[in-house]
Amino acid sequence: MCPKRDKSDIMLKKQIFNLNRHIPLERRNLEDLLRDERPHVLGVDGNRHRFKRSELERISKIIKPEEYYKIKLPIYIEIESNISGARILGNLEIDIVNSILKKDNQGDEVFIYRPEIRILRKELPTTTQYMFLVK
Amino acid sequence: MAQEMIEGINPTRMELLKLKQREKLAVKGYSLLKEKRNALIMEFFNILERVKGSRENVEEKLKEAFEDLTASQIFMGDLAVNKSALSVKESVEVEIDSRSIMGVVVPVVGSTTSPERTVVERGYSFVDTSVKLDEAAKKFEESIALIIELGEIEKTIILLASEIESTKRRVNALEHIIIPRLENTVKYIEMRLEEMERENFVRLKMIKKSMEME
Repeated sequence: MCPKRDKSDIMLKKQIFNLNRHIPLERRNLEDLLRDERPHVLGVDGNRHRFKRSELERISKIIKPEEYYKIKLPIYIEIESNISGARILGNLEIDIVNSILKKDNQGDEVFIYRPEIRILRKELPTTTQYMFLVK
Repeated sequence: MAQEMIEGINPTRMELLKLKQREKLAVKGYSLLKEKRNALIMEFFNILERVKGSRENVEEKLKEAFEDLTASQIFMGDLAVNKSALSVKESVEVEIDSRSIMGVVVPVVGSTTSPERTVVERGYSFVDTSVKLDEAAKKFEESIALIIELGEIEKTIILLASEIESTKRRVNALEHIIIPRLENTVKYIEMRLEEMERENFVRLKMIKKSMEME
């Protein structure tokens, strides 16, 4: 095979692979983060992702204290190229999204669209993160 | 204009299969990168909204603070102001951390303590100082929080803009060069294979005809 062709293929695969390098190695629960002096998670790429305390406090007001250990942060905004909009998974995550967007979605999966993503990211810039679904 | 194709490709079925796989990957990569570009632009505009007026506020606040400082220098004299400045206790502590926006590492800057202090906390004597000096100190302290926020926003904007530019370039390269080239090459191989099939068919027909004649 032509080496030039190989190189462009490898670069493209690398690009797709790198799309999710910012995702944390391990998500942390709210209880743990509220106790932390400098609440943060570490990404796959090794970079620190710091949470703003004001956002954590805002989330803590939305959900019940007994559920603090259940919610894992950051909340993922899952983007898939085949479908329009983005998906949010999890009951508690949906409660938070509903509270921010002033909506009444039910279930453990919800789809939000660009104007709503914009509001959500504006209100919670550090406690939400994009995730690209690569199949 | 001639359609661009990948050079040095053999029109075989094996090559066709490989090219189709590459085309599929390129299309997938293109749509994902396009999503990333759109999301980055959205983030950029969100930050841009925050910066609106922020710089003007900082400049206005600093202008007022410097006016008061000048007034206090007139009332008290340069030396007395410098003496008061030397006795001021430690300044605000700034904490710099980072967060990631789709792989773009942007700073998170904040102060651990409130920059605004009382006259006693500042540390200089308020017996032999002018009220203008207190006002100048107060305004400088108020502007610290604004400067910290502005610094974070401006750096974020610069980093996001450069990432948008590079993502845009990749998306455009895929959209206008790589994918059309792959499509054209696939089309070319398919045509060549069909042509070869037709040639074969005609050849076989002719052989059959000549055999029948014999």
